[in-house]
Amino acid sequence: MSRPILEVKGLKKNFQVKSRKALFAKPTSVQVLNDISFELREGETLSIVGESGCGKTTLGRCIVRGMSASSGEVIYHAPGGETVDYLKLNGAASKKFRKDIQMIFQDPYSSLSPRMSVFNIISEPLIANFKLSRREVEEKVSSIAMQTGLNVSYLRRYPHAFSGGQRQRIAIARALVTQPRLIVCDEAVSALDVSIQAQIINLLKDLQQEFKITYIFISHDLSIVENISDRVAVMHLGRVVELASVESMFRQPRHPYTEALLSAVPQPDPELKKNRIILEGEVPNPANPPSGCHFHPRCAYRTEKCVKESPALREIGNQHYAACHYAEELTLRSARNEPRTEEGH
Amino acid sequence: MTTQTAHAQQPLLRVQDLKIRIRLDNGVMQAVDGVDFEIRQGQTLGLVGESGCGKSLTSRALIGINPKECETTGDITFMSPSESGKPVELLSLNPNGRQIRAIRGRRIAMIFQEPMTAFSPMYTIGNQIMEAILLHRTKNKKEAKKIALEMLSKVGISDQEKRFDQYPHEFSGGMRQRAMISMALSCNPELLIADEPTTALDVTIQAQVLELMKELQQEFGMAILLVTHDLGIIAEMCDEVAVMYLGKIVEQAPVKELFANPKHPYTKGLLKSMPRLGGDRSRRLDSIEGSVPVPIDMPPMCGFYDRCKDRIDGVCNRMAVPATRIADNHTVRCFLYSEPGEANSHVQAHP
Repeated sequence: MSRPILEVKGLKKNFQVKSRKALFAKPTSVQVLNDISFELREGETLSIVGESGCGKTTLGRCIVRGMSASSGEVIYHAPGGETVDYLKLNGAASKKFRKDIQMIFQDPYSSLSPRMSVFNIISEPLIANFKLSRREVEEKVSSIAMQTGLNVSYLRRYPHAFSGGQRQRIAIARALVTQPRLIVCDEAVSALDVSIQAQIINLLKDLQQEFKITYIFISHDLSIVENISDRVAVMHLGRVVELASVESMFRQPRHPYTEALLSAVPQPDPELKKNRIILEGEVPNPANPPSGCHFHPRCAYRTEKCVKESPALREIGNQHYAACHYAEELTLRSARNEPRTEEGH
Repeated sequence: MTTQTAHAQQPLLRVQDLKIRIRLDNGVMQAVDGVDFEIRQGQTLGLVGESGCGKSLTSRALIGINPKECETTGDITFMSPSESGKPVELLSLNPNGRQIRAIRGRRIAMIFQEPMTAFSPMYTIGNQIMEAILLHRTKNKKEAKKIALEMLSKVGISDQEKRFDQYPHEFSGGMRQRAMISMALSCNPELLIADEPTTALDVTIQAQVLELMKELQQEFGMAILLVTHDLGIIAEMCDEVAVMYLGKIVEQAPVKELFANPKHPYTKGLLKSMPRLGGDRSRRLDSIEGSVPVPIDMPPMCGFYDRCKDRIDGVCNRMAVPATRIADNHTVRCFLYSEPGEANSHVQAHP
């Protein structure tokens, strides 16, 4: 097993929300990330999935420090064996390490400045982080443009001249140009058409092979997640409720929420008779989360215990973690919708 | 899949040679270029394609709500069973006239992708649902409210009395889409046009809404034109599928046939480029290289030519491709399945 590159420990993020009840009422605090901990190993792809509002984007942004976390640590293992708390970096150390973690955003139409040429967009992080001559900058930018499948002769153009897929390539080139070790991809292919989506996924995989990059891949699309990731973390209302290797999770989910998510994905196969699980109701409001297990109002397997006690994330076996009181006993359906053969409760 | 009721197979709406041109500063964009299809009563037809292929324009043309810049030609014949079998030519009607307004919302209703923008933020949900009912069904406000409340409960909105007086911002995304469906179905339409009805929703909520649409189709027996980019949704919901690319229907077939036996290189490419649950993870996704061209001043040729792996040089880039019927209900627009010499023998999707 390769060595860790990032350890997230007890990450919390609270948002202050104005109360609607009274004009001068004190703002209430909403816990968007609730004690998130996981370890990321070098060269792997960890996907983070969940419904909108579960905190997956906030988690990504807190890691790259696009947002400041309320508490917790993100320990970064630098190539030299040094370990630093990435969230507390400042000054020279900040300059030294922050270029190692980059981010790709969802919407390539709003993530690129319309007033900068593509060359300037890609070279900006280079100029900010390294002392390079003009010539070196040009060489680096055109080599990265080539690797991401951009036409080098178009680099003087502006983003509006490019299609969505091309723009996402520009965004990837910009993220890659500082030679980062970790890239946080926040719904990086969600805004793209199916045929373009596949191009970008393949590109991300190729680049990972070539440069040994680690990805945190934030997505709501489980078919893509299965294809791209090594491990998957399922988030629900600010908590990780299941964390396992992709094979283990898709073959044998241990949390009812994961089961429901997998079951809800529409499959491009009209012959498939799906007996899908339809979750009742909606995602609960994070400002006023349900008691006990946050998933219990929508869970088909809930008991008295689930209403009262909040389950902790624990290991079920073989690096498979789940936060459910009945993770061992439940017979949950796999991604292919076949029930597990083992005895249930 | 819908249950085949007695009146199924009767055509409800027929589109022939629909063309939509948009004049731009740098030329004329042929956004929709000769689309033919037919929707039968109680059937679900899926219109699938990538952004910019003209699927939304096509669906909006049916009820005449495209912007003024769109020059629309062709025939859209609506054969409402309740209009004593008299076909109505929708395109020949004045887009603001009384006749189309009696059909729009009443016989043909539409639900849109983004329920936040489709509802007016200034009126309560109840008010907006009642508007359609008051226009088409009754003049009595009390009765209209009763119907609206009934519709809200049909789409699974609890506590209707309270919800009725709430504004769209007080609803969640899934609730808004439910409210929109209840509004569209409040006049018991014969055709429901659903333009990407679940794209803005989470998978779990999407599953709820799709299930709801299927149930209501059973109950009301309406036909659905489902516009989407998601082949998974198509597989689940539709009886028949039309694949659009660059303003043309490149392949049309019953849903099982299309997924089992795709013919057009674009359809094949789309199906292969989709990652599937339980698929082989070590396999690279097949992608379709290149991107969709902009259909401005296009010469007569196959729009997919530049991206096609099976293109025939000197044929595909020289002339327009006719639709070829290769099986009973299966038409494909590709020279791999027709002789270029037959280019004039234009085959209609439905004679």
